[in-house]
Amino acid sequence: MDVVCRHGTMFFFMALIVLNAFITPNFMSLGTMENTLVQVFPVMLVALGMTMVISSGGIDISVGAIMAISGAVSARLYTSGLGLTPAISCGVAAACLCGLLNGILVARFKIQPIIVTLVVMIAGRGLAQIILGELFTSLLFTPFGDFGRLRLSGVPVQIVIMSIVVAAMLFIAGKTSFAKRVEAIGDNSRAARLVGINTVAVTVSVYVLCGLLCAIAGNMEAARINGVNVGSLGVLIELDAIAAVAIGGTPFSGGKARIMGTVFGAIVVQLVTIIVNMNDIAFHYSLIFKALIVIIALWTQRKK
Amino acid sequence: MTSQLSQENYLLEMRGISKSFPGVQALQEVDFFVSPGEAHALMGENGAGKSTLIKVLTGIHRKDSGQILLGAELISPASAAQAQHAGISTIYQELNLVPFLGVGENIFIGREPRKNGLIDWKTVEQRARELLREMGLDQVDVKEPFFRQSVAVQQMVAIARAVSIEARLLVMDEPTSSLSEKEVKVLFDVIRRLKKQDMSVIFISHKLDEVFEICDKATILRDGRLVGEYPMQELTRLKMISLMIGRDAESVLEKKRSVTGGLDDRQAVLEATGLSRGQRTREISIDIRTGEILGVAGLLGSGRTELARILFGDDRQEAGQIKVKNETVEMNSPGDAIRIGFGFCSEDRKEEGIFPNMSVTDNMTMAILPKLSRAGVLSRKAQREMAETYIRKLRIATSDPNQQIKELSGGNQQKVLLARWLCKNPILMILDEPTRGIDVGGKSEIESMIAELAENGVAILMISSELEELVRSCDRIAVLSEGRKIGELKAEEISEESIVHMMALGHKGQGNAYAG
Repeated sequence: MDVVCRHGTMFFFMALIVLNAFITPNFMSLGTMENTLVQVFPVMLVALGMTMVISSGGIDISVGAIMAISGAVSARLYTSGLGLTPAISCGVAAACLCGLLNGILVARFKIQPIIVTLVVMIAGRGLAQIILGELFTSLLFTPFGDFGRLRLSGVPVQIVIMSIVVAAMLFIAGKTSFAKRVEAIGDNSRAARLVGINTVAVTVSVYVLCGLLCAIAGNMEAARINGVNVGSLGVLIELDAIAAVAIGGTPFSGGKARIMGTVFGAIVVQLVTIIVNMNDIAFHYSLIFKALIVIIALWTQRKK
Repeated sequence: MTSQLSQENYLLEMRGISKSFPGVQALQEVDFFVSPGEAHALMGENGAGKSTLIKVLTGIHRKDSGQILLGAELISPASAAQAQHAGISTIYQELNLVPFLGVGENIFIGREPRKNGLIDWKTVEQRARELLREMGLDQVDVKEPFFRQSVAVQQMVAIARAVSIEARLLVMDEPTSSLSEKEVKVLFDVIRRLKKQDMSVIFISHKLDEVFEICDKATILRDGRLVGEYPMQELTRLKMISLMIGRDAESVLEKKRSVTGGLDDRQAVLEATGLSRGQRTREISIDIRTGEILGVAGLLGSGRTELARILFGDDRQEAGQIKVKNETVEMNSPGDAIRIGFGFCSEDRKEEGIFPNMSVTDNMTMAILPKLSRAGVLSRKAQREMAETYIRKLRIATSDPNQQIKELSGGNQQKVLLARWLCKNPILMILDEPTRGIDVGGKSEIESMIAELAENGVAILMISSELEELVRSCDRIAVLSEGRKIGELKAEEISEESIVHMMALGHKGQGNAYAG
């Protein structure tokens, strides 16, 4: 079964590569590939966090709002004179706090994850604007903005960070007892409590981890586009992230986190976006196209 | 077995049924014949192939070879719906009806009588009432939601549904597991009435008394093969058990423990005094010493499970204190109890025990992850070694330690759950119905394991509805009734009669029954 799930994801991946190779001009060039990987960065990170949340039997639709809050905190502090590192650290902390809030409401107060994160999603974007004090803050010609175009031995910084995060997540999901506990909670939370797992602490950690990844995604995205726009930063990213997890084969009822599945799932989602963008197809078609892929993905994987 | 003439008119003929799963031959050339109007017991230990045979019959599994004839017509159901269409109705332990719809609606769901294109509620209610009356249920309000009914009534509703779709063959898988004695009687009356109407019933139950009471014939399976078909008159309990497990039954069901000298001087592992919580637990005091098996008897709802929950830190007592080895302990979660050295097996394996989609290995080692990890990194090797050790030690039938636990039989699942605690060397095991839903052979194995644990000094609190089991296993028995402990029986006083006597006394003359 494991093999089938992975193959399902790989099938989409290969099919989209081939499709793009034929219809998208200049797709098979190093530049385009690099571009694809840089653009997939936010979706990839958020989807990896989402994978762990879904593995625990939850869901987090506040990821986009958390990106905005994190970006807003960093940008506000940075433009008011704080150094780059402390400013971004505060942005990261803010996102982790949001995750903490999600986790506590879900695990301690036993409110449905979709409701909790819906509330944070709605309130979060408002909060982000209050924090920023305006709709848009430019980071053009600042070290913050320049960081988004940094290259390390010729490789874009996004690809470097993404590789590190993917490796870390593979390690966490594959090697640690933490991931086993997350999976256990997702599979049977009542039994998890009765084997002595601190379900509240583990669940909270999962949402905080997701918040942390949102923070990295939000700040890097702000740096790449030279500014924070609270109205657009991370908007609708929850949908792409959830689609990536679905394509990747992590069961939505909770259970084993499939990190590699999500990695390819995120790239598949990005390839769809690229097909649409580079072939002058209207944006709304991409939404329908993505929905179709999610349905087909879930259909091919329905046998768990 | 001379009655098996080929010209006999069977309702159901399953011939030469074989079915294999990866690594397991679940059924091998099994024949199974059911005559019209008979209740036919399908017997065998867990893993004998009963469920597989039923699943082949009801279209959940596809057979590899063999043929199925229903009323002389060749059928090969490919789904539960097709089987139902052919006239086979299955009533599972967990009923698959709709909780929030009315009783009548549930009976006719999917084929409601209509008038002018709309559902004709009057007819629905009227016919539902008639059907239930035929089964001796006059009091049920057919408009009330299904979930408000007792389990017994829910089952009757499921049967009424089967009757109304004119099923010819009713498959009942452990139908009495959650029924009271009185409810079982009602169910059996209904089965007798159905038999008169020429409906056949395939009856699967671990409770031999019931099988002997209601069934006409028994087909016995062992290790996926047919042992034989026997008229009930030719069988005794002992003979049936011997046939099921393939060895002499006397040795299996003998009293395991002939203890218990010197228990009095041993150290008390657990002393609980005046435990109270709500109506279900009222001022219960118990103590258990090292190597002792304390049984807890009581009817459903007497507060047995609630007591276990408090002792395992899952619920907090409102009054009373718990001492472990003479020190007062505060437990706010099962995690706290586990750190003290307690282990717990719930009565509900599926909801509170297993992680169904995880492997045998993961299920077994979930409570000792910290020990198998260094700096949070889990050692797969240590995990696997631990699992292999206990799979061997407890003779757990699994094709692979990485097999999902949900694919194992109930008895083997329970062994995995026991192993989960054994590998932690517990000081106290709380076992709530440790052998529920497990066949005779598995039961005897699990009882031996419990006895062995006690030999090794583990204190054991064992809750069970099966008096025989308590009598066989326990050194001392505490009897609960309506949330109170109404007495205790010491080794020499323990017998089924004495337990029943005490439970009965507790119900009647409450004033002077609190002697214990």
